[in-house]
Amino acid sequence: MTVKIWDLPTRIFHWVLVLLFVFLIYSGSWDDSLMKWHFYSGYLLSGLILFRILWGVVGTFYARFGSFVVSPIKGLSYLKSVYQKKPEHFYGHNPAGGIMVVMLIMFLMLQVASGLVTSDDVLWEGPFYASVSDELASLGAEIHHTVQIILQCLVGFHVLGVIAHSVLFKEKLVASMITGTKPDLGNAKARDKINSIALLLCFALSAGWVYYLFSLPI
Amino acid sequence: MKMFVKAALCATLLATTAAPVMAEDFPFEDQIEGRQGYFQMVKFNMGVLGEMAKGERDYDAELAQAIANNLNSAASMDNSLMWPKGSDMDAEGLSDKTKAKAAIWQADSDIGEKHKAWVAATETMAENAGKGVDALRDAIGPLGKSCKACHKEYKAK
Repeated sequence: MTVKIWDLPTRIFHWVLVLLFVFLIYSGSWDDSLMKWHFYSGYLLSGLILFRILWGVVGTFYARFGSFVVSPIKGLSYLKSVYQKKPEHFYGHNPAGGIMVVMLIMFLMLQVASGLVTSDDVLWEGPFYASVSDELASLGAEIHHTVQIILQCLVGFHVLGVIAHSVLFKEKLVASMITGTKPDLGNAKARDKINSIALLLCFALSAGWVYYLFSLPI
Repeated sequence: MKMFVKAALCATLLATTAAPVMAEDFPFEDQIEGRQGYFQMVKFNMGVLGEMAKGERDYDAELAQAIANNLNSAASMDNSLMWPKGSDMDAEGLSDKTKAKAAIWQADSDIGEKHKAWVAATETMAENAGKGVDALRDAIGPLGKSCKACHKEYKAK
């Protein structure tokens, strides 16, 4: 018996994010040939993040921030229980996973914001470079080059954590993020149905933002 | 009268020798402003080629050639006098005046090689800029990369 946990919008969001992130790291290297696509991918990623934030408010149960975001203290005590091989079972994001989600979203937002205002001093300018002060643009450059390393570390921890959890506690977490279902241990609470109006709204706002970005001159 | 003339002469001499130092607001002001102006000019020329490469400006073989020649000339200039030791951002009073890192003047600095690489890249651009927009596009990536090779190590953000 399986139970429905992750809705399709959330799953699509997750895996498109993975693809975009990998490409952004690759195309962001200082060999300029893919810089235009780096910009476009960044725009798309910002739309994805916007969608996820909105969906975290009006989405299905396990997608909502209210259902999994906890204090860092709780996250740490969860990790302690993992270390003691006696963790509580969670159908949605466990406390540590929840902290990771928040950190990834925040750093990705910072990366997008810094990218939008910065310049590489040679041929490329973010679309809002001309609208900010020189100091802010310089700060943006420093942030953008530093946060990409932080993000790679976070993603590394995330991947390691998911693999470790899957192996140690015999839960197929990656498969669940694809199929959306998990084994029902008898006490499962299935997610609610997707609210179509909410989904349309989130999608429209995100798409509108991305469309606006693409309309700006590079 | 003789005393007055002598005094006036001394004062004038002092004033003219002190003037260059007194006219500066910060150390190496002329050199720093000179090299920053130089890079603004380089940036302007790069911008024209960049716009053609990105399709934001119609490709014009003659103009592209002229601009590429500009960049090659600019890169080949001997600007060493604008880069005196002690004009880095860590020097007294210069932290907000220049982004030149002290590493430029250190013994193991490879800025000479990086400069040569930039000159070479501008030569390649000059050979290709007039041969069509695709040739320009192929040359502009390595050219931009040669700019950033130096900036990455020797220019603060």
